[in-house]
Amino acid sequence: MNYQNFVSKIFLITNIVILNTLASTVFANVSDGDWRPQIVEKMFVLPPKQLERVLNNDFKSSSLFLNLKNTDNKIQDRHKKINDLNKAIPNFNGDEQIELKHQVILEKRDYIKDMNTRLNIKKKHLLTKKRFFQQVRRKAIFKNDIKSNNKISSFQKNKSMAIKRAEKMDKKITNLIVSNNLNQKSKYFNEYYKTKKAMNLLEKKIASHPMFKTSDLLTNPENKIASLNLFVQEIESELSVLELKEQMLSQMAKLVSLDAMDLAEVVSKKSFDVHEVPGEDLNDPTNAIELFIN
Amino acid sequence: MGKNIMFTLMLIASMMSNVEAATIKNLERTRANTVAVILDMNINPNQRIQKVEKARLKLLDMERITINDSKLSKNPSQYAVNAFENFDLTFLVHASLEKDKSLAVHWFEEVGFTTSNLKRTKAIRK
Repeated sequence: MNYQNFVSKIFLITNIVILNTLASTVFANVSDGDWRPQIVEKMFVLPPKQLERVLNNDFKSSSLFLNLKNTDNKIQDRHKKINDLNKAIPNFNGDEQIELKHQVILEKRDYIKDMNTRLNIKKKHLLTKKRFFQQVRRKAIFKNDIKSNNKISSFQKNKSMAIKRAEKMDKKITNLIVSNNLNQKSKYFNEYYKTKKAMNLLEKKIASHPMFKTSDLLTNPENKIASLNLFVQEIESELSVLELKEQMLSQMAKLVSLDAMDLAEVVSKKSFDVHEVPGEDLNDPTNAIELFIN
Repeated sequence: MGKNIMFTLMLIASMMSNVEAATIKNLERTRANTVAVILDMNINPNQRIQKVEKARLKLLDMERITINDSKLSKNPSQYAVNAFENFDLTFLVHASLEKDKSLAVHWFEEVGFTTSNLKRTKAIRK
């Protein structure tokens, strides 16, 4: 290994150190793709669980998801490569071992870089999802406010009472018609009973539907806000986990830079050892005294 | 030009109000006709019974249509609010069946024409 080669390696290793120290700021600038949920307003009425499913499907068609998938593949490849290189290092000596160590450091640097990109993409995904759920939540609260408006709510109360009272009378009215032999029934009268019967059957079927029991929106619309809050909370906890992972990544970067510094030290030491002139130091006048004596 | 715009606006406004309270207005019209039959002095009791019975079936349909009208809930007018606040007076057929009374007796009672009330009245000269 000549001197120039060693110098270039030291330069590279120094680069790694600098890059890793600035890891968090430098990598954050990389473009990670984009995701803008293309969900129509009508979907907002869906229960949160189904809405999340639709949202996830939408995410899968975005460039952000494509980048996430690519980065995942890259990370898996690098992980395998680092493992292989680490296993190979003990089998070599000297310059070859240094070269392998150098390769490991480079792979580790790229691994951290990719991992950082992955975390950024994941963060972007979660933040977009959070913003989306917050928007749906705001709309649900707004709708709830309209419903709880005094004039409308008292009217609704009176109307539902009227419906209940009218339904109670249905049987009485039929009996009355039958007992009085009234044949002058209107078209609406006949259609009303037919439709009511069909509606009752449908209502029974809806009530016994397994999804009706699980879907909190259908059983109680106010629960939608609570479950949306839960979704936002879960996303926030996922975001804090990502922050922890980022901290871990910066620790990894520190370790890689320390390894790089160590390797640089070994390489420079070796380089000086090679160029060290064996024998006496001719720059020392005491060693040249013989020239003058003889 | 100005007149045309005004006319169009008035037409739209009248159409909107018709859509909103059409069922209630129809109910009110039928109810008024039924009450008019009850109070009609020019028919004999048998004719009254027949006419009231016929009007009752029509009124029953109108009441059901109004009660089940989902459009009313979207933006209820004061008219609709008042109608549903006074169930016993608005939905005469339903309320009379609930109380097991005839339509006429129920209406008289709701407006305060009860036998005891009438007995308590005195003819005075002012």
